[in-house]
Amino acid sequence: MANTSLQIPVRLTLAGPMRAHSDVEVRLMLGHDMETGFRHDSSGVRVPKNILETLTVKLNQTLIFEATLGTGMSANPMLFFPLTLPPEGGTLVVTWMDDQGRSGSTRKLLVYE
Amino acid sequence: MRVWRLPLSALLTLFVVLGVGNAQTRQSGLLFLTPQLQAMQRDPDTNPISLWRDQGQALWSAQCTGCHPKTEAMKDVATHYPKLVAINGMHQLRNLEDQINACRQRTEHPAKSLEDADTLSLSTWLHTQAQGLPVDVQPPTNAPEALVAWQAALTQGTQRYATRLGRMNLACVHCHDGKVGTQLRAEVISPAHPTGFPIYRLNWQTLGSIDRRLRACYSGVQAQVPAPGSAELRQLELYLKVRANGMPLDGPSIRR
Amino acid sequence: MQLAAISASLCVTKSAQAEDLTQAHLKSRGLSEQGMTIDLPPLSDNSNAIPLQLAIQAPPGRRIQSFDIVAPENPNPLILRLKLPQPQARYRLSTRIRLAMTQEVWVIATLDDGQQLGKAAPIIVTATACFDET
Repeated sequence: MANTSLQIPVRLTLAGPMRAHSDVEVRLMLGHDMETGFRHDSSGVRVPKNILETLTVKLNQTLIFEATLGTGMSANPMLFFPLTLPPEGGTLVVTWMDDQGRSGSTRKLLVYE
Repeated sequence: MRVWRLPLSALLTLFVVLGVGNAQTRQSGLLFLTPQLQAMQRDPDTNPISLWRDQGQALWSAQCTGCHPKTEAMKDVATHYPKLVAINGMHQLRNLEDQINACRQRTEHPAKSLEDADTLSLSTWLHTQAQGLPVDVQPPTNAPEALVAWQAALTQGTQRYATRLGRMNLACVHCHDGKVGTQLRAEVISPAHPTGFPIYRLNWQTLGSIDRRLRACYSGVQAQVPAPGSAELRQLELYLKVRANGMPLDGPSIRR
Repeated sequence: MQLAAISASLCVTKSAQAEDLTQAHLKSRGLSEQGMTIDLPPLSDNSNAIPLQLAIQAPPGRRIQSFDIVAPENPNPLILRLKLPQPQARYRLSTRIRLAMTQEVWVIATLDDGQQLGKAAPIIVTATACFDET
C-alpha cells in the first residue's frame, strides 16, 4: 500500500522552562475530524470511518511514546503529556497515520533559553 | 397604551432603531458557557479554533495581501457585515463568508461552499483581528435605492424573528427574548447576539459559520431548513447584527 | 471452578481483540487504584469533547510501560492505548474523549512486571436538545 502523505493542521507547543533536564509539558493538537463511521449525513448516508489511528512522538532518535487512537478520541485530538528535555537539545518529531495508511509528520526544534 | 396594538415586528424594529438596551445590558453568548468551556476557549493550546486561526493567517499572507496589502486596514472588516451589494442591478445582502468566497472566485483557489475549510479559516482570522471592536452594521449611504433595499431587508429580518415556524411553531423571539437563561437539556438559551462567530460547535465537532448556525435553528424547531446563502438567512443575520450594534465582538468562540 | 481458571487464563492474553473491556469484567478484576488519579467531570454537557486528565504514579521500584483509556459502553471501548518504550515512574496525560452514554471511564496501567493497575471515574453524559440536520 502506497504510503501517501496526509498533511493536517497541527499545533505543537511546549510549556515550561526550556533548559536541559527541565520537565516540560508538550501540548499537541491535531486537526482531524476523526470520523467514527457511526454518523449519517443529512441525506441519511453513513459517513465513512476515517480516523488517525497511530501517533508516535520521537525526541531525536528516541521513541517517547507510541499511541493507538480509537473512535472515542474527540475530533481534533488534543494530547498534553510530560517530557524531560535532554541536555543536548534536539528535535521533537510527531508522526501520525490514519486508518488507511496515510501518514504525515511535523517537527519542532527545541530552542533552549 | 396604544403602542402595544402595533404588530410585534413593528415594535421590534422600533426597539432596534432606538437602540433600546444599551451595550452593557445585552449579554454575549460567551456568558452562557460553563467556566470549563470558557477556559477551553481562552487557552490557545486547548482551543481547537487555534488550528483555523493559524491556517487563516497563513492563507491571508499567501493569497490575500496581493489585493489587501495593508492588513491593519482590514482590522474592523468583520464588524460591518452583512453589507448590501448590487449584482446585475439586483441588491443582495452579503455576509463575511459570502465576501470571502466572492474574493476567492478571483483567485486560483475558489471556494465551493460557505463551510469550505479555507473560507472558515479566513473568517476566523478576520474575526480575530476584530476582537473587542463593536458590531457596526450601518445602512448604505451611497444611493437612495440601496437604502430602501437595506431597510426592506431589515424589516423582513425583523418580521422573520417574530414569525412562528416549524412543527414546533416557535418564533426566534419565544426562546431568545422570552426564555433567556433557561435550558433545553444541556443547552442554556442565550439572547442570540451574534458577537461570537464563527463558532467551533461541539455538536458539529468542527468550526462553522453564522449561516450554518441559523440553519441549525430552523432544524431545531423542525422547520424546512433554507439552503445555505438564502436571502432569508441574510435578512435574519442583518436584524440580529443591527440588534447587537455596539456590542464588542468576542469570537471566534466555542459553543455547545 | 474450572470456568474461573479458564477465564483467568483468558485474562492473561493481552491482544486488544481478546480483551474483555466490559464494565462487569473490569470491575470483577479488582485492580488496585494505587497511585492513579482521573480528573473527569461528573456531568458533561456534550458527548463529543469531554476533558480527561489522568496521572499515574507507579509503586516504588516499578515503572509504567503502557496505559489504556477504556469506555466500556462505547461502541469501540478502547479509546487510547499509549505505550512508553522508556517505562516511566510517573506519567500524566490530558486529552478529550467522546462518550456514547453515561458510564464509568477506566484508566488501566500496565507496569514493567506485567502487573496492572486500574481506576474508574463515573460520568453522566448529557447533550443539547435541538436536532441539528446541518
